[in-house]
Amino acid sequence: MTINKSKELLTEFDYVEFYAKKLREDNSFFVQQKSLIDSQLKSSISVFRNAFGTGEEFNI
Amino acid sequence: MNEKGYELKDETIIVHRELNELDFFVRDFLEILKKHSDYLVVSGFVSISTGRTRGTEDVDVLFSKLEEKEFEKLFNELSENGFWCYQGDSGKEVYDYIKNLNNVRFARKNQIFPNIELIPVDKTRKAKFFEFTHSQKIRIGDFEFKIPPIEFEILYKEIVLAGKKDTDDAKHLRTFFAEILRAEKFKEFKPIINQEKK
Repeated sequence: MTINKSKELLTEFDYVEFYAKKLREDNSFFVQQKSLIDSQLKSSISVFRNAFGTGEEFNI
Repeated sequence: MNEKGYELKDETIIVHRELNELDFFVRDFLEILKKHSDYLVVSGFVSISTGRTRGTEDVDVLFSKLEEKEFEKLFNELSENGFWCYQGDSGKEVYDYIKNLNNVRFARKNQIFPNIELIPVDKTRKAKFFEFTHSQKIRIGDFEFKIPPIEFEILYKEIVLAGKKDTDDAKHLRTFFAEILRAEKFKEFKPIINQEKK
């Protein structure tokens, strides 16, 4: 995996474009995306399990 | 050697990545839904499944506005397979939402997130009905599902939704799919989407 540096990254919009170009040309970047999506999901499930309980205790 | 992020093969977009937990959740739900109705996955999941790295609380899925008995069958099968509905405990109880074209949400039992926002569609919802009947197949590993034409999805996010998250999603789709986007499709879809904005 090689990341060529760019001097024209200024806004968040630029980063969206930068990352999409990388993904388009090299699917190895999807490994990091999977890791991020999986960890976000795990965290939100955990937060709401703590807040609302599980099984018969589950209550919203 | 690494591959490109996707390819277009026999009119199907094939994304070269492994499935993640969000994909498994959506796949399990669609396996049941498609036995009862046609469907279309729209909005955030289209961008996330093609590489956008952002969280989402819900996955938007269009489905046909079913008759009450048909909806009850769908509801029961979802319940039997570990999903619960925010709006009620039976299909009969929830059906008023569907009848009035209001969205309902399902999550796995004992969970709130992620959830599916199920959006009933009929011919009166012109733009939604158009995308619903003009789907694009996409495949990730062994998970194949239907999304709107990419050009339609981009314009819908830029013109109708138009929030920051949506314009970022649209930028991602424009860049990632730059090689297969068709100018004539943007021209065709724009008036349909502009109607939705009114």
